[in-house]
Amino acid sequence: MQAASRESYKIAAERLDEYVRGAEPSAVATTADDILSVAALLRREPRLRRALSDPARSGEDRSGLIEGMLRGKIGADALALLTALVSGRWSAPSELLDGVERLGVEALLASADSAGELGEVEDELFRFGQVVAGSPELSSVLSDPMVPADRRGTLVDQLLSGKARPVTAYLVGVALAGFGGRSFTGALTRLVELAADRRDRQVAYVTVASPLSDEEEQRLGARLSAIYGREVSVRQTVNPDVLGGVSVRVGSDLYDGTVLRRLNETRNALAKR
Amino acid sequence: MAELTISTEEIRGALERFVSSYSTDVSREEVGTVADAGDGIAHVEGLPSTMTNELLEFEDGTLGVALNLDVRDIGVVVLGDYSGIEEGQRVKRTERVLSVPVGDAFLGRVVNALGQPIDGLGDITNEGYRELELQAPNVMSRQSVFEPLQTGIKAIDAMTPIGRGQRQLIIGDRKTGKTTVALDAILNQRDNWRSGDPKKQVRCIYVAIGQKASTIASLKGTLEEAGAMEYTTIVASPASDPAGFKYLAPYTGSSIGQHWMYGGKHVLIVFDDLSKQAEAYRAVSLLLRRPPGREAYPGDVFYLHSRLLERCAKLSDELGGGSMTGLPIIETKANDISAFIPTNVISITDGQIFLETDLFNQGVRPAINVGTSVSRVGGAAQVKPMRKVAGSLRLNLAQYRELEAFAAFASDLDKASRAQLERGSRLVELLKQPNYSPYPVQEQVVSVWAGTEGKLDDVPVGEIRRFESEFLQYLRHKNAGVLAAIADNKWDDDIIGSLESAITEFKQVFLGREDERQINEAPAAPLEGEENRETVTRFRDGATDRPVENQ
Repeated sequence: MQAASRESYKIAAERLDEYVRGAEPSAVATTADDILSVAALLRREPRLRRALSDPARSGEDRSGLIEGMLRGKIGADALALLTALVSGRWSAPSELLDGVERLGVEALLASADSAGELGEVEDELFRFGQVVAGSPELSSVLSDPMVPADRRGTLVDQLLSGKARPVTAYLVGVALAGFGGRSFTGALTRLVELAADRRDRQVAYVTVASPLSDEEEQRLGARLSAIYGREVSVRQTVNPDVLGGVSVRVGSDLYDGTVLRRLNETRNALAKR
Repeated sequence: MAELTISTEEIRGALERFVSSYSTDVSREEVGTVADAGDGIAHVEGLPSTMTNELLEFEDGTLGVALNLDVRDIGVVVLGDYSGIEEGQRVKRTERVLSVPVGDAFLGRVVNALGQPIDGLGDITNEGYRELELQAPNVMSRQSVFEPLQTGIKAIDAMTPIGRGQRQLIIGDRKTGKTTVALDAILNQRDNWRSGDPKKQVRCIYVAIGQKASTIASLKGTLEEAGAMEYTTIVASPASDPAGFKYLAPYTGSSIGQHWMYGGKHVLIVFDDLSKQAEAYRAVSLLLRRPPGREAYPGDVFYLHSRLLERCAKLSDELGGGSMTGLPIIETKANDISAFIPTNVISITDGQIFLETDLFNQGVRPAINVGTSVSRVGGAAQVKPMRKVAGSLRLNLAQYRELEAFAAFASDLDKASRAQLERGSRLVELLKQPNYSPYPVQEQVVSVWAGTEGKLDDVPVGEIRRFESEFLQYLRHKNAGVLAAIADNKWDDDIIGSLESAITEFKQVFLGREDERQINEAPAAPLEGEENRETVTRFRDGATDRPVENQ
């Protein structure tokens, strides 16, 4: 998002935090659902999102438009949040769509947070990502844009029903629709990061050849927390291909101490001769 | 002989130390992932601290340059084979802004656009690295161009002289001898190089962009045969290279040259040719989805060439007084010098040499169009004797071209005009020169002097070239002192006097024996194919078949 859009989003996000503090988790989840359905509407209607982000009209005009259109159709809390979002300035119509979507996801995560299950949701999202990455067939079906999103949604529901929390299943559905225009796996990763962010944590993706013991994991987490100055939640992937050692990725930073990397480096060095 | 014994304990100890010295230190590196790849372009997500023009390393070791830094991704031009790059692969930062190795060891070598040797002669030991995109020297670090850079071509050194630090464009259609002019200029530096005097020596760089690999090989052969390869570096980016290489090759050549220039040395760099570089840059830009402008070139195609050519300069004495002379080459279509890229480069350079197909096919080689070729540095880039004798040459030739067009229709010409025509045709003949045979400047001066002073007016046009070469031969044997004096920048009445007496003496011999034997060189044959010149038949007064008007 560009500067003006970021500013407008920040105001709405602050309103969301205020609202979440005094509301029941189930009410917040309903509000989140409302906001995400508005996001789906905006994705379908390019003219509407152009009108709602028209820089030539005043903020009151635009919030008047959305109020007139959605009053009575969605909850009052959701409408208040959306009005706050729309009355700000937006650099581009697509960024308004991104903003609404992000706000919905944040509301969903906030509801999970106040229900005390955000850590589990984050974990479930990550695990599901691992499951998808481990099965090429599933991965190709889920990230195939030619298959309608609702059919893919049914598939995911069948896989997750009874096994994951409703919030997780909902978020996977958001990822299927392409959260912010990302690919399915990209969207899932982003959701995990957003969940960690809300817990004021950073995610460290750890790849090892054989599983780390709990004590090792805690030591690694503590060490990374010392480097990054905030809590780090360690997400472990076991991949025998790396042969040995540990590779840790935090955001864009990579600490690759695996045997595989050393072998690759050696091979490249020899190939250059 | 002492027997070599190493105990097993010693070996074990050494091996143990060797194993324990293995460090498992892991350093932090920044990584991103390939979002999409194809056609030599990849978009990479992540890598937030990437610098513009930084080299990025893909999983298979291929390098790429970060050209577009966007909000969510980075547009990367892949340098090398892009078939191994797939979506989802890791990309590493190298924290190295695009740079090439430089140094004296590059002389005599053929390198690619990244400065890596491709001639199979082994590694090049470099003196350091130089970034490709370093700004050109500013106003205070320059001085005006004043030393001549002799190309060895009479027509150029006399009429459109090139000075050290000048940018002179060579422009013309395909197959009009553009490369030959540039190569002659390189070959002509051989004596300077052998003199061993760093003030005279000129290091040469030939940048071949988008040419056939066979052409580059034969060109290298020509340079080697003439002994010119020892002071020349070839930066080759043949037609088979990806667009990223072709667009970078001129900057690579320029960086290698700038290193020498800032070391107080003289450099001559030939960019052959910049129209292909512009096309490669267009391909890269369109693939990166930059908005296309005129002729689908991106908006910064002017800056592409201006920043490159601006790096050719004559440095001030405080900076060592080095220079880099640029000879960019542009290929036109159908002699149209008013197309987009030609006008751009003409406006950047300090003059142009326009080579024409018609002249080339008529046998005027080098096929320089005197009217549209200029040098904005002018006399400052000529030695004194040349400046004295060549002053009227351009004027004479221009008048001749004008009269020639007129004479094609006019039946009768006055005596003065006829004399002008005669003189002009002799001057044209005099300026013809075979390829790869540059003339030393003193002999050029003598030839031009003889032509402009009318000393050749009584020599038949067909004999001019033979007369010239034999007269120069005669001077070399009989009057070498005069040539040496001219080479020493002297031009006074004594020299003119001795030249005059020599030419009178020689002419008697030359014209006297003419009746006995007539050895004509084979005339330069026009190219086969369609006729390029319309001919008009003139009817003479009093002829019986004269068409009668007003019957």
